[in-house]
Amino acid sequence: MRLIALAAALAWSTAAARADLQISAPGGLPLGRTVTAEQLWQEFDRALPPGVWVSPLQNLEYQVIPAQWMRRSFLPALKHQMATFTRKNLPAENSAANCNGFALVCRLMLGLSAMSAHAAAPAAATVIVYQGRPFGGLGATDEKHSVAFVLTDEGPWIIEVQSGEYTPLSDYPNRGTIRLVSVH
Amino acid sequence: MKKLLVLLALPVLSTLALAQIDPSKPMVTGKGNVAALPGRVLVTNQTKSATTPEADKAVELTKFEVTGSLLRPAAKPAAPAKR
Repeated sequence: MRLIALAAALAWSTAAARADLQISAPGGLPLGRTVTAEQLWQEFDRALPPGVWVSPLQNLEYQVIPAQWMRRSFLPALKHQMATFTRKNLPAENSAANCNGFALVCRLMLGLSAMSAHAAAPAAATVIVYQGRPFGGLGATDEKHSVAFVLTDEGPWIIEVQSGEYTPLSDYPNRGTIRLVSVH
Repeated sequence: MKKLLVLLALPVLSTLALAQIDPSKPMVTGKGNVAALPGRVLVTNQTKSATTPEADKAVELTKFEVTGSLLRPAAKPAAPAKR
């Protein structure tokens, strides 16, 4: 009996020391419209200021994400996911747990949701922007920052991943200082 | 008649512009494919020559170091107590 208790205590302490992180993505992504790579590029070219770097678009088509599903399912799940990271007390400075890491998690979650729905790759990207103006709970840091781009059926959105706040790209206060869009 | 010609020409021109884009290659908004701008783009992390004339200054992709975070800074380890 003592041996079992000892083994359980050892297993618990090992798990706590490893501090495993898990990512969960919501299912039920409705299959709506898709856009071709050319159309997605046109969307970037139309909606972003000139001079923004756009990564190669390697898929033939991308899934447009329904805005209603984003609001009802995805953004609450994203907030929950970010809360789990906050509880882990991850170091924010010079670590993988920075804005870029969280934006990648957002893209990964959308990818997992699309996989589970047997959908095309989501029309989503990570965005590197100069944060000259406050948005989504983060102040004007005057540094480069990473947020998420999602092409919804209501148009392109920018999401501050860490707070789950979003805005249409046209209303994004730092739209003019977006530097790079990475889809892959 | 001129208006009609313009109306007819616009879709043709936009189709031609679209045909010039290869979305599987890196792009810059307002310019199109990077590969279509020979000599106008420097690849990131290349060492700049000190003798590069200003006139040849190309579009440059800077290193993106991202730092913004809403996470609380991790607690610093406490200093060892003096004995």
